[in-house]
Amino acid sequence: MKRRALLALLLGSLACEASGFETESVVDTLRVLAVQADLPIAVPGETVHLSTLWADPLGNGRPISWAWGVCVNPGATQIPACAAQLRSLESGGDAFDVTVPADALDGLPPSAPVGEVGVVFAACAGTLTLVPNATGAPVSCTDAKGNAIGREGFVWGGRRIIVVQGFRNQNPTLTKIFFDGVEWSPSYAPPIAPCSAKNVENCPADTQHVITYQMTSDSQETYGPGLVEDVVGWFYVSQGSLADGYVRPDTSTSVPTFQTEYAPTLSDTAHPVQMWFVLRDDRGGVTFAQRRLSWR
Amino acid sequence: MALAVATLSAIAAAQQGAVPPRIKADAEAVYPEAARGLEREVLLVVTIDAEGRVTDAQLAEPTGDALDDVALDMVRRYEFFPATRDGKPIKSRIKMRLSLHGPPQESPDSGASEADAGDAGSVQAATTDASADAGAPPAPEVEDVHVRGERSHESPTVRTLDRTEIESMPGGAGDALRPIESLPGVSRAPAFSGLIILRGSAPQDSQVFIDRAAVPLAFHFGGLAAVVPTELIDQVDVYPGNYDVQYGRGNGGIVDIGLRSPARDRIHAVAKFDLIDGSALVEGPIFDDKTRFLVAARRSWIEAYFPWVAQNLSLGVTASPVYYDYQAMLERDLGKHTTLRLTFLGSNDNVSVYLPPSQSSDPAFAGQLQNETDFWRLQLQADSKFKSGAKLFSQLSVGQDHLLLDLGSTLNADSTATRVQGRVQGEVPITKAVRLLGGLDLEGGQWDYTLSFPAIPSEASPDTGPLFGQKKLTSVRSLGYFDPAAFANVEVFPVKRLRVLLGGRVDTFGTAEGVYVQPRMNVRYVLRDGDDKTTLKAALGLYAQPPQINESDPVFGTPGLHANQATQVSIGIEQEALRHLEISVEPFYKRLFDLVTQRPDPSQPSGFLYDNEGTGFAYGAEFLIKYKPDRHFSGWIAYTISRSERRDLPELPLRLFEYDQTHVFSALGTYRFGDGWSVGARVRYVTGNPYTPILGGYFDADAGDYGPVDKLPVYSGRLPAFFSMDVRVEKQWRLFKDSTLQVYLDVLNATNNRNVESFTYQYDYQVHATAAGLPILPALGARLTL
Repeated sequence: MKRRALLALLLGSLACEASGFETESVVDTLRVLAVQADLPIAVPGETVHLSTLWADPLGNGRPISWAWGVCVNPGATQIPACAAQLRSLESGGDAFDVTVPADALDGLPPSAPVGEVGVVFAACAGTLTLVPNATGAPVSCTDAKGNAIGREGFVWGGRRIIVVQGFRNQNPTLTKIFFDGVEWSPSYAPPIAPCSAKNVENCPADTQHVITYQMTSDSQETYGPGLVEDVVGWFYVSQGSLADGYVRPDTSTSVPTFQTEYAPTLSDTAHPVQMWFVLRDDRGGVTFAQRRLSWR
Repeated sequence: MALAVATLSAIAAAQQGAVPPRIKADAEAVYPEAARGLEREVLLVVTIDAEGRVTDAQLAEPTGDALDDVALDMVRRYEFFPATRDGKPIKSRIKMRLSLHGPPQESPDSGASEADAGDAGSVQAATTDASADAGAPPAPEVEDVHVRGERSHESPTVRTLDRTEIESMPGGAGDALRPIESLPGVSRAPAFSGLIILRGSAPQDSQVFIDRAAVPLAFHFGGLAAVVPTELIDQVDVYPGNYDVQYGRGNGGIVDIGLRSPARDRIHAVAKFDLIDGSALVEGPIFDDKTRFLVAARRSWIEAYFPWVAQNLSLGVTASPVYYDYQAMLERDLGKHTTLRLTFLGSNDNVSVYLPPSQSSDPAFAGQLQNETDFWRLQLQADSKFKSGAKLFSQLSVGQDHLLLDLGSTLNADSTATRVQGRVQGEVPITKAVRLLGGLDLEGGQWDYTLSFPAIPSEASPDTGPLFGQKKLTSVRSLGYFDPAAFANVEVFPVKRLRVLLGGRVDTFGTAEGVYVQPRMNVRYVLRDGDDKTTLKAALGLYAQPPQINESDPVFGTPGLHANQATQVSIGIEQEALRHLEISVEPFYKRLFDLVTQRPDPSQPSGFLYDNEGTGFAYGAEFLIKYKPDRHFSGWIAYTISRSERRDLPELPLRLFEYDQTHVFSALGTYRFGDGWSVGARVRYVTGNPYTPILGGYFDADAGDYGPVDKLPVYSGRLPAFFSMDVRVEKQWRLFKDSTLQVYLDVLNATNNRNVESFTYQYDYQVHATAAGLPILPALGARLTL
């Protein structure tokens, strides 16, 4: 985001509220929600295992093609620059292993010997080819007839693996999830009733629900000279409305907690409701979980 | 009916090296019937030619009553000994204050009054009788008199707005600086930016001065109001480019806010109030008119109602900036030739707002935002002008600039710069045809800052995506700097009506390598003198500008850079016509080289290597047709056509400059009906700003947000054109003696045109919408002057 975006945010763009844009927290197309590295910070020579949290709630189980590419120290423009450097892709599934080159730190300034391995991924409900498409992606996603598949069945992106000696970063630990105060296990699908309103706050009280999840208190690590990680908790849902797409932890209690409100607004009861939770810190640490809801 | 005339001051002779005109023969006032019972002082601006004849007289503060015409008629029959410079008679412009007293109202019991004869002869007789009764006219009083000879500015192009123009300009809402956007060579700044863009230059290339000392800001936060209230201003000079050797350290232009002197005659006060802020000012003499003071302060109050407005308009943020500014001045005349001025002024902007997650899908931009910008200056200056024509100006300014920008763990910037600026410059006539100017322009100080932020890409770089999760850099630095400069000019009149100015400036910069010798010249030739004067002009010069502080920072930038440089050329013609018109046409060309730009380089801490590899150019033409103000009407038409492009690296193609605006058109005028009423309007049409189209989006798994894929080269798209019409209605009441109450309504964007300022995008950049600037906005205000 450009620097001037800060000023535009500050003074409020009148168009934002009235634009009718889709909400990022509602997942109704093929989406990649998170890519976890078992080693968010690695050293040269180490192999990092990447696993993805992805969703295709309206895809009816269609097959998804995956491709991965790697670049080393791509420069400050990062993901798009990394994508532009790709000369080949590796096909695979929704997990990928990256080995950090032994010379990943060579040529970096002695005052700041921190490198990056950029990993580009693409997921497609069709066929992937290494041909840039019109939307700036380094790959094209086409159906059986050769037609381009749009955002409903194609997503690409990237993440970074920080390469530096003497530092580590643990992925944050998500402990418990609660639905209206009741612990929400993977096998439990709390019943919900639809609400015809557009927003959570306009729904009747019995259709509004409090969603909470917790992380361990040591998940927000300190590092370097008194620096503390910034940790954000994300919420995603396959339908309905969330009051917040992401929040920062409430640390007023002994256990850091992330909370928002949910209501099944304008829902389609023919499809089940899924919910995903992603914890991120600002040094590449990621943890995720998912749960289901059932219709009353 | 006593008649007193306040005339010129010999002290004004100290100004600008000229001896002011003197009254040779005055004239009697002729009062019409409508002038009965009226009495007040009338301030006039009078133009006197080299023969001592009044060629023009304008009302500086017209009210529309009968005394306006009386004063104009009277002063046009005056005869003067003309102003002189170096013994040569010159054309001059002065301000004169006439104290007029109309004949008394008719008593209901009286028979025919002395004026019943209905002819001027009776009235004149009464006037004469009254004068005899009142005794001899009082001695001339000191007044604000400015002797303006031929354009005495050394810069070839300077456009000046004086306070009366600024206060009444439609669309300006009485602000000191917003009206400059209506001048040629000045581009339209994006809404809420407060930027000043001159002749295709980047905002950071141009400088703002207050009484020739540089200040960091022109506007309070978001361009709401200038940092100095209009009531303090004498005039604003805008140098769009090719400025003289006295100024430097910038490749763009200059806006110099000249503060006026405090009143000499008595204590005055002004209170002003509008929808955004309120201000008060007190000024006057201390003990005698040789020592004068002025104290002023202003504070915003928009924060009192902005949350209510924001809530009802469903804006994303509900907090409003708070600002205040303050000024104090003490001025003392030392003898006949020198004026000493001590000024203390400052400005503060503060905003603290919580940015909710709903406002941005990038967590880096959610949370508590704190932004504070403030500066203060203490300036002591001595201005001496001698009968020989020599001048000496010296100034010492000390102050601090402070910036705090804090947004959670994403962005922390805390900077304090302690600045000392010193200037001493002198002018000496060597012969009748040769004059020397020279001086020193020194700036130095200490800059302490902490900056913690992801690497800063240039505006020419593709978007680097969401900031959350990006590697953050931290630089803590304490930097002493010293930027000395020396300059000199030789002004030569080789033949009559031809002036040639040859000079140069030498700069070194604490934040750049090298010594920069900048020769500059300009030429003015009066092709035809008289009422329809024609002047040809040309200028050529070299300019140097140090890198921005982040560009030479060892963490964010690259030390050891050289200065940005530019060659500027302009030619022009100025034509006066039909007594009331001033027409000017000025093509210009600017070649930029050694521009500091960046290229990706992973061997650098920031990932960018900065070097002087950039080039660019700006060229175009400025047109101005100005109607010289008369009793009823003032206004002008300004049009600039231009092109500005940059080449960021040698291997890259040229691209549009981010503020390139092909056409900038303004037409404005104010009509004074009389009885204190005036109506004005301004129409503006401006080509839309360039923008970078977005092809699509990618998911940044570290941030949990999407980033845009820019269509390269950057700035290949252009927003729709901007159009607005502003309307102003003003009513002024004369309360008693010199006191006035002025109420105005300035309706910005009166046609409620939806001007697109930018685009907003869905989270994945697959869908976009336009974001509009200001809708129709009425600005209601009142000013009480005592």
